[in-house]
Amino acid sequence: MQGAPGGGVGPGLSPVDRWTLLVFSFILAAALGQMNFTGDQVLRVLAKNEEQLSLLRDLEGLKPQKVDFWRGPARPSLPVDMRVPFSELKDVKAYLGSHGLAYSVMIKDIQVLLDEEREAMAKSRRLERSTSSFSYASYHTLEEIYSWIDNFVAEHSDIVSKIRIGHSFENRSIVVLKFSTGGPQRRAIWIDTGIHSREWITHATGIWTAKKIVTEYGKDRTLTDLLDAMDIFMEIVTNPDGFAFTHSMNRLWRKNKSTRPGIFCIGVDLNRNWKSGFGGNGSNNNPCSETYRGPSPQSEPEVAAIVDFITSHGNIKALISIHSYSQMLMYPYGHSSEPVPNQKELNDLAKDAAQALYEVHGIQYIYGSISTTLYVASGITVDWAYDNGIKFSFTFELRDTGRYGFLLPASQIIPTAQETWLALRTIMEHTLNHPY
Amino acid sequence: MPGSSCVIGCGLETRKEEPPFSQHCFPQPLWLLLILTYLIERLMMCRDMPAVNEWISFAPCGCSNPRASCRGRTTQPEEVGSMPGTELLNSKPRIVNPKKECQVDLVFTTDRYNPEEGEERLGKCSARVFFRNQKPRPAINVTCTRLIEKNKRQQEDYLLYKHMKQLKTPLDVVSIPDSHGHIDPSLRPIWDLAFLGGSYVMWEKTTQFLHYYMAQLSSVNQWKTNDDAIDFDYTVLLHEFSTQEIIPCRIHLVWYPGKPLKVKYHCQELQTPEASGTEEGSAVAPTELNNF
Repeated sequence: MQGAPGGGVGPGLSPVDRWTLLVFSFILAAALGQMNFTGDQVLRVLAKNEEQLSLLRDLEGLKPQKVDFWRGPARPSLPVDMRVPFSELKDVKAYLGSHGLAYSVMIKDIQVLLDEEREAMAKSRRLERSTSSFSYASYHTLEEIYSWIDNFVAEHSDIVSKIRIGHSFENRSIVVLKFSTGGPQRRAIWIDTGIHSREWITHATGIWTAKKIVTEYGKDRTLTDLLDAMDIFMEIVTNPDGFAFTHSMNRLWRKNKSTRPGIFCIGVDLNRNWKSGFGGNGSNNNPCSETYRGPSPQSEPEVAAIVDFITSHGNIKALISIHSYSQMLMYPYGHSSEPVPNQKELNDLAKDAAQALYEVHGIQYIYGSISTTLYVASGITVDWAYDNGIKFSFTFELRDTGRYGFLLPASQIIPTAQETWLALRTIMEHTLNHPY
Repeated sequence: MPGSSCVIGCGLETRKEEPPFSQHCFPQPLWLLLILTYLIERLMMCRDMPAVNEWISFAPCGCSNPRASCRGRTTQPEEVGSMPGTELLNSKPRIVNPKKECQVDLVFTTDRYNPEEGEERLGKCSARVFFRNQKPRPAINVTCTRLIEKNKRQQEDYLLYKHMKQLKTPLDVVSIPDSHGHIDPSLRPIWDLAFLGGSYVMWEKTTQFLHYYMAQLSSVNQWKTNDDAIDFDYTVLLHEFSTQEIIPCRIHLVWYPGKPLKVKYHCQELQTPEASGTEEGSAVAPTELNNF
């Protein structure tokens, strides 16, 4: 039992400072694992007069290190706080009692307090230790999502693995979840969320959906059949730099964070940077614009990473790119009003998916081709996917329709994810049953 | 209660020919909602009755793309005292001359601001919105029945006004809603008033191709209630849908129930690549004066 590290504070400090310093250094020491204070207590004694005060001073002198004053005896009106080691508790309390010194127990067990403090500090970093304590009904930071991904993969390693497909402009990892029950290079479905960083509901929906997939495998017939024959790839944070920026500086940031020498404005609209109809109407040449297409197709690392992955995989059969807001479910093309060859099939499928979605919470979605339902947009993900042979290419615009827009209340995360799941399931089922 | 009507702007032309158009129109969820929010304000003005207590919102169709599908929209669950529900009953867009003019006819219902428990008092409105030549400030002709009686409305406006006067100055408040979409219930009236002013600005800027939503009240610069009026100076972020741009607008509104709402505003222009670090900040004096 050694003296408190902070025991040698000089007379210049006020009692409050001394207390704070002592408590803090205790916490620090405990955090460093150097000391153990199990069972130690802090007692507060009110001396009624000078005689009692000197008795307390005697206590300190009687047996060195028997008590350790956090707030030493000064005047009768001021309380005296002392830390009493567990081994000395009985003796000290008997001493106080026999001399009529009233005391109260300020801290019943210092070690418990230190442990709680350490736990709270760790918790305040908000990095959950398991996915069961992760809140699916809240929005999260990039670090929290990446931490969740690691936990998720660890907990469901029989079905889920993590693939790093590249890095962003600011050198953040671009990570894809792979859901697979085996087989080499199976037919697969691609889902991405968060390509526009301000659309927070999409990342949240992606996370919930990932959890839903592993939960339903073995329970839901459709999903089980699907995963027994096909793989699912999910990229949750498709624009990690932009997403970090929505937390740190600008909640309504849309683009990535790429910069070019001599150009004042930052960022490229990742959903105008694809090599399909690139440069057409519905994208912009002005780097300061929210729909700036970038200098050339796939110039952005975030887009190039996906292109490389999907192209080298070679067996993606459906691609679903998730955005917000507007409550729409759409298929190509965005760059022109020319209908795609399987337009009728896609339209029927969209209709069924929207119906399935509606049945969950009564939310109505419109469906149709992008250019005729939303607006003309060139160089977009689903147009590229379709032109590269992915016949079932869809894009969602999730809740709502403008009331909250991008700032959708967290209370709507789970209902949104629940209804979207039914639509995704419909599309995935169709893909499973219509191989090509 | 007799219907009331009000014509805003002029130049409603009648057309003889009926160009073929499909049953479909281009849905622009809620963009005209915002116009109409301001609109009802004007409606009340015509009857000498500013109405903060009757809010109108709806999801109509626009004229930008005649081929998209249209649908009626039912309300989403709202918190008590929030923006009213909407129900689009019927909408007949008529594209008179697609590049030049656009006319949209709508029928919709209104709801009370702060509806009472179990109350289902829906007002019924029909409106004709007319855009000419891609110009902003569409002409609007709206007729409503079954709105709250004038006296009751005046009463409620006054109560709302008194309540707002008691709010403590929210100058340190930023971002309503916050990043997570949350609006503190005590700050709700501030957001609502900001939205009212914002809807006027949006009407002034809306064309058949440019559609706005109010994304966020990003700062409160001034909230004064000493001279009997509520003097509210604030900044909102508007989201324009077709360009996806976020446009900060500084708005100054003055409200006293029984008197017309006064709105002044200044919105930032889109930056060009040549701009090298200079930005119009909120210190720029408002250049548009719009008293009515």
